[in-house]
Amino acid sequence: MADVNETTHGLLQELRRGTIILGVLSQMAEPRYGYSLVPLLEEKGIAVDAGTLYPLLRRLEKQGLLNSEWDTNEARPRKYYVRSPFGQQVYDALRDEWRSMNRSMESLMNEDEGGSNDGAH
Amino acid sequence: MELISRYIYAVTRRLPEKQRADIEQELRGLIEDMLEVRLEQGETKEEAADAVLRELGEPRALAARYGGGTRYLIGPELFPIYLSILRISAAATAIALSVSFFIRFLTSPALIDELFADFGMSLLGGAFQIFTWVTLTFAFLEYAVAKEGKPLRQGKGGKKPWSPADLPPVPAERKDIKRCDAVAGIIFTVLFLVVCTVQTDALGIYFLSGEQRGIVPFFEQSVIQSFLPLIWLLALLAIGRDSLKLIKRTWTWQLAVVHLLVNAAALGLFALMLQDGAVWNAHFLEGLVQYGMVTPGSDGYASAESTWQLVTSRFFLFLVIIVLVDTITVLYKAWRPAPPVKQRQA
Repeated sequence: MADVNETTHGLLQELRRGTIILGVLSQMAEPRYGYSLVPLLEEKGIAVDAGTLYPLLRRLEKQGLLNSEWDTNEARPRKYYVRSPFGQQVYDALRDEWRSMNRSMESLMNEDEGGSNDGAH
Repeated sequence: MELISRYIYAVTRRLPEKQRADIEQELRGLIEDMLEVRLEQGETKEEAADAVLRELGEPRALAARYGGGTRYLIGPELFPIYLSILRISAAATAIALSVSFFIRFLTSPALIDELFADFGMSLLGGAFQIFTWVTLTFAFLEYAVAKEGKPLRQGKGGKKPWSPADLPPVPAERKDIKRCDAVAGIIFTVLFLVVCTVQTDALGIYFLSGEQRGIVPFFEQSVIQSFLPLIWLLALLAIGRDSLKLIKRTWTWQLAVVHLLVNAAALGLFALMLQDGAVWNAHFLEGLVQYGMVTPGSDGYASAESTWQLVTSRFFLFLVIIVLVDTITVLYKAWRPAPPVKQRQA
């Protein structure tokens, strides 16, 4: 038998992959640089490490969901990302989809908990 | 901070050149931000740098995340076929070289040491040749497939959305290409290649008993070797064709056309090689005399002479017939109607 923790960890990673994108997009109404996002997301319970976040931001930019601009006025030049109009549309659609999915999943899993636990009907 | 620079270099050197400068600057900013947090918490510079780089993880993994899509020399789609072609070709080469070694040993047993060294060298050389060419061929296939952006096994279909009607029919048994047929084709090609490249003088009449041991070869090795580039080209085409058969595993009209084109190319090459008699061993009859098989002026000599002339003049015709038979077989296999598949009544 595979280890419960290990299997759970693997499946969780798969689940998280998509939610991180949505989480990042949700925070990008204002221009932000990568590292400022880390504590922002962490506060709300979405832990993401910088090594995942930075490539992701770049990918979202490449897909046209984010625009970017270098701010070189400060001592440390930083690349700021912000949702593009296209990214806004995609985010809105994703958010609605997520909410309805969330409701469906909730009702599915409530059903399971409400039923008999040994699986006999 | 030398460690930081080394880390950034280790990441960016794995990235496409165009993105390097931008990612480098961004990554440096990130690391400085992360360091700052740790320094404020009272860590020393060394501790902080070590912790931050550990947090970011192995440079290779980080670069891979930046890289996006994975690129292959030979992708998972083609790799199993690549491996089996490699194995088959290697085996065929080894067999051909062993046979060649054995023939040379029979004709000149005294040279065993020299022959054995030569055998080892040609095994090594052959292995490299096979590996190089098969890999190059498959790398090209992979490149073509990746460029097209869809796996090779899928049929054509262009940009149209997929519909169930696109599903290929279950191949009827008679239209199946047997795996061993395609494998035999590859082995034959490799044998042909090895013989042409290494030892055409192994094809001939053997004299293994008596005082003199030796072979009277049919062909003039130097003439055949002048055709080697074309022979190699043809062999690669043929191996490519058989690989395609291993992939498709069923006769389609496209595959039949490829097959016939390669046949035509082979026939063209043979015609070119045989057009003047230079490819035949001009001293064949003298050789027979030398080994005492016939004596000049005898009836035996006359009949040997006429047989030799008949064979050399009709050899091309013989090849044409073989290719024709193969062509008709393929046409039949590819175009005959598939037998009705037994169906359960719904």
